[in-house]
Amino acid sequence: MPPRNQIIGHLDADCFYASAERVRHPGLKHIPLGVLGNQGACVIAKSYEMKNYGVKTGVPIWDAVKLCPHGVYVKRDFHWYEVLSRMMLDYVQTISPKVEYYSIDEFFFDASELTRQLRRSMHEPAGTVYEAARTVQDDILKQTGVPVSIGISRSRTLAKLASDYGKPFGCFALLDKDEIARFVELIDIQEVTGIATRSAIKLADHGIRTCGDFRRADARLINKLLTKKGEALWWELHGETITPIATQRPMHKAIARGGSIGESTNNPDILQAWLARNVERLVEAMYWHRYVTHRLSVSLSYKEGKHCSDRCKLPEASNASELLLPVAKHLFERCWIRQMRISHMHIIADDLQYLGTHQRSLFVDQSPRLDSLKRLINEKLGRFKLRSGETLPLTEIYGDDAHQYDICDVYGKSCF
Amino acid sequence: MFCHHQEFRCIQLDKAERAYQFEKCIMFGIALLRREVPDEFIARHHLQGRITRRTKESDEELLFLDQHCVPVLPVWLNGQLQILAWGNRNPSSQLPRTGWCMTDSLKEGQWESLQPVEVCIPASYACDRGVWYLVTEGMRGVIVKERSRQVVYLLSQQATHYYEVMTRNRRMPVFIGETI
Repeated sequence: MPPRNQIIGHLDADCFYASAERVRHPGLKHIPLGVLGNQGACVIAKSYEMKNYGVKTGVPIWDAVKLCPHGVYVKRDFHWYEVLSRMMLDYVQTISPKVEYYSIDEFFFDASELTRQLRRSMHEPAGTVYEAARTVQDDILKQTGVPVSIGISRSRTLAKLASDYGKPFGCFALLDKDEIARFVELIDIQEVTGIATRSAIKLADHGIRTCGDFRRADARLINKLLTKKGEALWWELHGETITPIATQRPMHKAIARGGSIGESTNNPDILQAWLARNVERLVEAMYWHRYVTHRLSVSLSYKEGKHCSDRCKLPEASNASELLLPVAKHLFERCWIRQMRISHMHIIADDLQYLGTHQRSLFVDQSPRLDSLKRLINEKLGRFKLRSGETLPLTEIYGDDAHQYDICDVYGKSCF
Repeated sequence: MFCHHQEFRCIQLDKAERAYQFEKCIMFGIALLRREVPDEFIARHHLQGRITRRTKESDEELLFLDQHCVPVLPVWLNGQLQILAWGNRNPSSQLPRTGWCMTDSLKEGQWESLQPVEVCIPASYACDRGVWYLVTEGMRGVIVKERSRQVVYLLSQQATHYYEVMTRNRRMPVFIGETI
């Protein structure tokens, strides 16, 4: 249970991908800027200037161009975004003893001692929390070039609402109980992280539409409607910290690698190459998290609209490509419809366990040497420098650095 | 067939943001940040009319579009930035009537008689079929001579899947030091 008087900060980078591109390409400042996904089809992030033209996240590029013809589009580069994200994380860790790496552009941190931490000397009087948060903003802007918004309050939920309120480059401290009550009163309940459409509909049936309505409702009713997670939000909106700052990522329920394979195809060589690539990435992620899996699934989506998946239990929990790749191939064959073109492929490992805590089988040959060799070489020469020969048909993918990293390859985040 | 081989359309430069709004035209163009080009160079080549900006606060840019009445491109040649005619529109000329040179045709020797010289074309942004995208350094081209006249052609290659999806063009320029 977190301390009752804890103050929590939420730091959220302003249009992070666009800001990150502007750090390395200053000429993009003040230009409506759209960041495209790796297939170039959709705007996955945009600057405020582009937002002003009505371009929303997820819109196809051809729609965005109609709305904002003079905007400039760039390909996303998660490797670069991670560099800046880690710089921000390093900084926040110097001003707070507890930091949660929530997502690539968001951090929660213990702000209880923020004013003391930011005092330049023992003799200097501590300023207000607001002043300290402003200092954090300025420092991050100077050190990384990324503008951030900060919210400071009594709980994570309130801190996040506060940082959203001030954007862009906003700073908002919300500590007084009456001030909290006034602030949340008219905020739409769906603005609260954890309350999605279905929950909002349930609440609306009881006349609960704003955070003010939510706070006034009986906690037992909220529990009944939204389970204990909903009740935790009720307490959080009253300024009680229920969800602590998680400095360690909780164990995954499943890990998946895959996604769009670019141009849809039924070419067996290309599909085997994607399968091998996705398994290599999955093995890499499992090794990083120190997981082994008991079960593997392959999921395929077809251009023609169909979807197939299959799963199987492994003879022994493993994270070795020597075992996982043949199993993935077997599953792939079982759900592959040859006449149809595959558009998306996912390899999913679930029923996870930490490496070393699992029961070893007496009947499985123990020879997973290949992955450690790959790691050894790739750590020195770069990611995917040594990779499965089956991936060779993917020349365009491996020839472009932007394909080397995806958002899920940024490890350690507690959310996504 | 590369779309840019189609007939050139002539447009006049307009002011400010309007200069960028030609999404319905099939066209190609590049923009170069104004601050990367010396004032003296702009004056010497009468490029003032090409200066524009996307928003009131953004950096000024020099626009070079294939639909300009006189299409030209900036070219690094012999260590100096120069302005050369972009492609050939003159039917009486012996030069190919296009603004583009396909890399395959260059490799096959189809341009050999023209003795093409490979050059770099600096660019900050490029626009293909109405989509403006960032260019880190520039793109490659070739210059050929006809009597005393030098003409630059942009090199084109098969587009990557990303580029094709983004611009709906199956061909793309040859970029310097990056894959788009």
